[in-house]
Amino acid sequence: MPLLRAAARRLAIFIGTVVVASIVIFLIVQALPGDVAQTTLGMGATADAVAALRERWGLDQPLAVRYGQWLVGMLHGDFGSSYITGASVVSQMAPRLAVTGWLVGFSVPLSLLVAWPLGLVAAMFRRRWPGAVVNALSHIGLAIPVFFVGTVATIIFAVNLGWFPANGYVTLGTSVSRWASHLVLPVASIVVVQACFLARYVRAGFIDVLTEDYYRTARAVGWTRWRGLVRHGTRNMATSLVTVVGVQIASLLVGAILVEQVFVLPGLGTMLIQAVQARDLVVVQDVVMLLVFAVLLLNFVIDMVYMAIDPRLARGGRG
Amino acid sequence: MKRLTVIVGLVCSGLVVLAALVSLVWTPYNPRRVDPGHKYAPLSWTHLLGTDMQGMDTLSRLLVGAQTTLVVGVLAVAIAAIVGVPLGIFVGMGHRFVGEVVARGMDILFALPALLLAILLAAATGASVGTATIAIGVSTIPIFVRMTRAATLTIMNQDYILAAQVSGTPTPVIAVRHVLPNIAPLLGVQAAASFSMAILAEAGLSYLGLSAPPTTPTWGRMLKDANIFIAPTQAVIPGIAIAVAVLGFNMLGDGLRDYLDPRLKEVR
Repeated sequence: MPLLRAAARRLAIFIGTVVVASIVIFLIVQALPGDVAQTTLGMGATADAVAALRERWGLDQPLAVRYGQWLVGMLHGDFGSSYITGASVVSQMAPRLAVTGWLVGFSVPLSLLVAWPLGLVAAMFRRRWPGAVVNALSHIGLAIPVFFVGTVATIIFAVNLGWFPANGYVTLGTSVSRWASHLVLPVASIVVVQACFLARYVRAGFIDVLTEDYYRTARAVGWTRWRGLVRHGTRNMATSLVTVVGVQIASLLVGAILVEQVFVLPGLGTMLIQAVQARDLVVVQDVVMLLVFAVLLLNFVIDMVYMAIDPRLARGGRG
Repeated sequence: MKRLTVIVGLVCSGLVVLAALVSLVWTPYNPRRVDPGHKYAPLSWTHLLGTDMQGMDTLSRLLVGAQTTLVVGVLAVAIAAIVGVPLGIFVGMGHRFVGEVVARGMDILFALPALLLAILLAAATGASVGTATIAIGVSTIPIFVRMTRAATLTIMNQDYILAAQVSGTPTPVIAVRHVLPNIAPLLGVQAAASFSMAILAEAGLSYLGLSAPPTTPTWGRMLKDANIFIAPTQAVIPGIAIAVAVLGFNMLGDGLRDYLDPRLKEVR
């Protein structure tokens, strides 16, 4: 079974990549110069106090031992506890994961939904003004940082028009309508930027379709250009789009972290930024590891789905 | 259309460079002078772009902010190119196993965008322009590796490479004398595109307080510090500056690509 063997190989590479990534993250946080205990206590602290704190946090043990403890702990669902508050990181992460999850979960399908017609129009009229307009728009959209989009959206729709709250978050359990209204502007900000990015790939995909034999055949039997592109093109364009979405997931997370700051949403990004400001190394290390793991896992899953769709990949591999 | 791209790109990026250069010798006011008597001044002839919540002159801060933007961009792209180009040529010219190892390493870097790297570095050593630059530079390496590798692979099929190999030219010499000059135009285009992405990333990092210290005026921080309820223009101005800079260098790269080699148009 070459397919099975290829899948096993991908799985091994995935696990290896995750382990190496965890080592990189651990080393950056733990091995770079900068004594957390000293920083936390301030420069005036006595050497004894610093040593005591280091011992309490386990910083006096060798790096390899600390890495092993961290890794084994995570495998058991124990992400350690915050240096600052002492609370377990998992218990802090859970409610925040939901906020970021909603943000990303709504943004991905919606940006695809916006990018699809934009790319279609851009491909169809690529030599006339609608194509040029969409092209220019997607160029400009790529140049505008997501936090600026969010800020402008707040100024217009929250401060001036008062349609949506300017910031904050309400859980789904508290009030569905208020939960939704707090998510509209953050999600819309991410979608604007992501859709501009994706539209260029949709456009390129549809332009490829225009040169294909099956499209010519469809036209020859009397299909309109719209029908030919929409019916045949979308499916063909979608396969290449899946990889783009995979690559894009990292930038989507970055967008989510920034947007959380704009709208003061209590998500993972906010947790991360607060932890950096407080130099809460355990929290930083855990959250970054979780995000990197999510990105790697998603790419792995996409690889597998791809292989299932197109068995040729199992033989050659695409790296 | 193509010419328009180049012109708009040149004008926008030129404006940013000009702003940085002018700010070295002159700004309307001291960009760090706090003036409590003139908080949130509107746009006027005395303060062309108004003042911020501490009465600091926005135009002065905008001009000085261009410096950080450009310095971080240049250094980050330099880091990415210095590491990424030799790696890409090495992988493109040769060994399968090394290629596999490098590819996996790049996978990890892809999953670790500039923002997360900057967060890790800032947590370990404290945030600074240095950590931001390194984070952006390192996360740009995979793009250079991938592009250099692809370009090298196409070049390796050329007859002149074969001729050099058959005549016994050592591989490193081939790399420097034949491969590098032939992929240089493509590298220039990539550098411009990466530069605009670096500017975008730096703006994000300074927005989050993960770049220059609060005393240094940066566009991202100006946007973050602006009070949109009292003076929304103070948020819009630095935002536009960021967009102009990113768009300018991006279009410059696009225009450069078409100008240098029309055949490269379809290469992404």
